[in-house]
Amino acid sequence: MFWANTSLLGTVLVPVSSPSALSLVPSDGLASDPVARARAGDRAAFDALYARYARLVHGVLLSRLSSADAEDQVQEVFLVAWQKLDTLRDDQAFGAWIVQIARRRADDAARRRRSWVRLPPWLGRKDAPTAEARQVLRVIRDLPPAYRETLILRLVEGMTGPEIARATGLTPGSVRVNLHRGMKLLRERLGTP
Amino acid sequence: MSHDDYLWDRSGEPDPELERLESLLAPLGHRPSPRRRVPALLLVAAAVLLGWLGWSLQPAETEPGWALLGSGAQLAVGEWLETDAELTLQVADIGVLSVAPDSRLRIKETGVTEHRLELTRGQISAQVIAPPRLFIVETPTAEAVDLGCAYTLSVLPDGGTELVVTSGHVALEAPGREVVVPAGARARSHPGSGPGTPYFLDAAPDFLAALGRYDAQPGAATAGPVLAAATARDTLSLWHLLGPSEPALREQVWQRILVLVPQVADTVPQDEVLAGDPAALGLLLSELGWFWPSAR
Repeated sequence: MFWANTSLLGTVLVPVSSPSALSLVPSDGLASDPVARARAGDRAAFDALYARYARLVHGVLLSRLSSADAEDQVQEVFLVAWQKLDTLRDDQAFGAWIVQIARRRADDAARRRRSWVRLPPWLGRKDAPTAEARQVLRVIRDLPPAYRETLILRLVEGMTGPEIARATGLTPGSVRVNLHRGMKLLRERLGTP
Repeated sequence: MSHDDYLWDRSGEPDPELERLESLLAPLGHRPSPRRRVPALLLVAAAVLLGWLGWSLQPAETEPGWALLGSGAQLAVGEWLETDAELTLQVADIGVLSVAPDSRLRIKETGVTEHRLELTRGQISAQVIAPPRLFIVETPTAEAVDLGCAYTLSVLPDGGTELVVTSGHVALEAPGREVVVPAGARARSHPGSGPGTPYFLDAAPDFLAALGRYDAQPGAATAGPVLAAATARDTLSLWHLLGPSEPALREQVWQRILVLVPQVADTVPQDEVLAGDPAALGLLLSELGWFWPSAR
């Protein structure tokens, strides 16, 4: 039996038998203190937030934008977060809050048409992604939003399921379901075992 | 279920296909670079926007400071600086500028949204850590627009401009033409003709000679030798021939690019490239960039 859980990453089906699905949104203990200090003007605290959440923000952006745009928009998202930190009511929800900023920012960036071109950020790097990597990324981007964001955070950004749950404020059960179903769909579309 | 555990938190039995995908996709992940990893810069920008800092309330002519390192002296907006020895200038809070002897420059504007410098003689090397398009240098023949990079910009004896990019990429702009110069490439701008076609510093002499003839007299006759001498890495230059070309020549350039880098046929819409669509041309440049590092 399943019930619909409208989460930050979209609507997913969560088995009601899963205890985690019924638990409260996990608090992000790492975020609470730095958020308060950053709000008080502590730059080192904001640095800590950046270090803690940059992969999360990048992953959300990469699910919607090119790599070049995603790289640039990371700092834009943190700039907006810094400017609007006073509007965040629950410091423990910083991760979920900045994910929302990243999504809006990505949508805005996707709508704007640039008059100048961008080069890929890995230009000149020896470990540049292969053509197959770009193709797989395209396939992931075509998955439903709930799956594509979670899979990019897991496979591209290297975050584990528990880390994704803590950072986004999603229940571990939701993340686990998204990962499982997203991976199953990805395998089908890639034709891999 | 053990594979599920690996997907969840990398515990349990590793899933070979999952491990392969992780390894394949890792280079696409967030990678803090010096530019990205300096949120303090964001804080400065934000603080200015918010009016946090006292100097943000000062008149535009004095904000933020351009200091001559070593002496602590400030260079004011509009004030000309002429050098008889090399000196280093702190560019507000976004970077450092090395100014060669016998150079002449001044700050035209400096602020949160743009730092604009005018270089009329000599040479500067810039290392800028800032969002794209925040730092712009005007020369007699072009504007160098920083897109997050380090570069050397020289005003040549004939009044032309030479740009060599060492990291990141720079747009060199003049009325009617904009070129994009990535790391390892050079572009020159000549009086009366604007920016020339960029090329990689390790381009072959015969290609450079052909490109020089094309830049002096653009057209199908001079483009032919350029196309013939080009390698996959020279598609940086060929891409710049697409925009201003007549349809027939654009078709020739596109066909040559397809021979040199056939992979772009899979991802770039040919009809839109041939129609000169800016988005398609931008996509093509981005795709070609994949093949420059290892092409030679």
